[in-house]
Amino acid sequence: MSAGTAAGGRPRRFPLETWYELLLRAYPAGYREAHGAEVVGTLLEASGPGRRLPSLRESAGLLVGGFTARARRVADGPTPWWADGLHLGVFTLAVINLAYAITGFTGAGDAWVASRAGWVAGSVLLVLVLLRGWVWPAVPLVLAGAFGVSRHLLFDFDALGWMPIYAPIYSNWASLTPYWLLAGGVIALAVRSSLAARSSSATRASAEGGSSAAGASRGLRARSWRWLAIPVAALVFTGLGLAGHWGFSSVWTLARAGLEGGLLLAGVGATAVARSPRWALAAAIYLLPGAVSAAGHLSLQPRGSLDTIYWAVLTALLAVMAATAYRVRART
Amino acid sequence: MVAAMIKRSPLMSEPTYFILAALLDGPLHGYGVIKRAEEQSDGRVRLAVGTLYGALDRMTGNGQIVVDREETVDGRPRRYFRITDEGRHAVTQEAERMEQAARIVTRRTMPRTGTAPA
Repeated sequence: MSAGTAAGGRPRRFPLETWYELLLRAYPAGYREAHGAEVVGTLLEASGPGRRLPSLRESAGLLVGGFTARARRVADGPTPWWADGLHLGVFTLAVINLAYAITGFTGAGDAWVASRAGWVAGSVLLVLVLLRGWVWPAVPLVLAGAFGVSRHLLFDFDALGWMPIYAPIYSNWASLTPYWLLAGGVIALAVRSSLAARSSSATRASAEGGSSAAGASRGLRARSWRWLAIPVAALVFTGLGLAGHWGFSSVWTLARAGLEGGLLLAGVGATAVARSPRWALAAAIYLLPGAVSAAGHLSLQPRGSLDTIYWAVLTALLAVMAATAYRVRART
Repeated sequence: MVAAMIKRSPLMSEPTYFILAALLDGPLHGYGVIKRAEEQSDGRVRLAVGTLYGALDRMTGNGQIVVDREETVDGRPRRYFRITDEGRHAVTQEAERMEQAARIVTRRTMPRTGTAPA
């Protein structure tokens, strides 16, 4: 069925062509610009006359193809895999920290001092600078956060009597793990950025034209704004009272576990198709603080059999991702 | 020895095999590859368009195929893909590997065909 015309004066097939264009949004924008019209043309040829809706097979093929194209584009980028994986790992820690800052959750035996506003603002800022790939502005933020949450244990400040500075108070070492991991990761990325900048300058001085590739590999890529859906969801959960007392309820925990499982599964798929270990590194960084807490019986998750199943599933997914990364790298 | 050869050869996915096989007779565009693969497999292999272009992109990156030319048909761009020597070598090697693997079975079963008791 034809109605209207598209670019090039050809008849437009409604609603099939519109559906295909919608499904093509699974692909990166650059790919759509370069090959979108050609792919839609092939889809229309393969669909035959009379079809109004895309088949399940073609729809699934486009979704998988789009996911694959996105993963490969990331892996083909100029940033080394370990720096990109480290960036993704510390960024997810910053995002989950913001989500918990919004819900007001600290941990068993820990406490907020005075208002959370400064901590939430700092957490928002940290997420934004890491999202844009700006590593140096993140350094003072992660150091302030790490020393802030550690002030009672490191310096033995009388936490409740001291001024309400930037950060909640943690009274156990396991709770400090994500903040020091975040700080260590960001500092490592900043050092790498400086070394790469120096190397880039040396290359520019020695040979004209060789600097562009080194310059491109120095920066970290910006992350998708869609990541902000997680803190926004935390805000909605808190607003609706679904985050529960201290941001801890079955609804919130299930939502988090589902999201983590989904992202880890996507990581396994991306590792397999793009043949890069970056997602396994990021997942290991993200899961390490929780594993330390769980090992120290300070888990943020419900204890008992559900807690065991939760950690078993996440660990198994990480192991599958690491094994996939090892196998595909050994084959290439 | 045959078993060792089969194990050593990198496995090629079925879509990759039929895409390369479709291009052996000359350059084809996306839908041309889909039709040729379907014909050559007696209708068994029906490549989804997303799968096809993912494989074409990967094979272009691997150097197994190249873009031969581009045309515009009905206002839409259309790339024609051509198999390279590397792609021809890879698909030939895969065909030999499968032939060897098949022979392990057929040389035992074929002579008995027709002589086995009903």
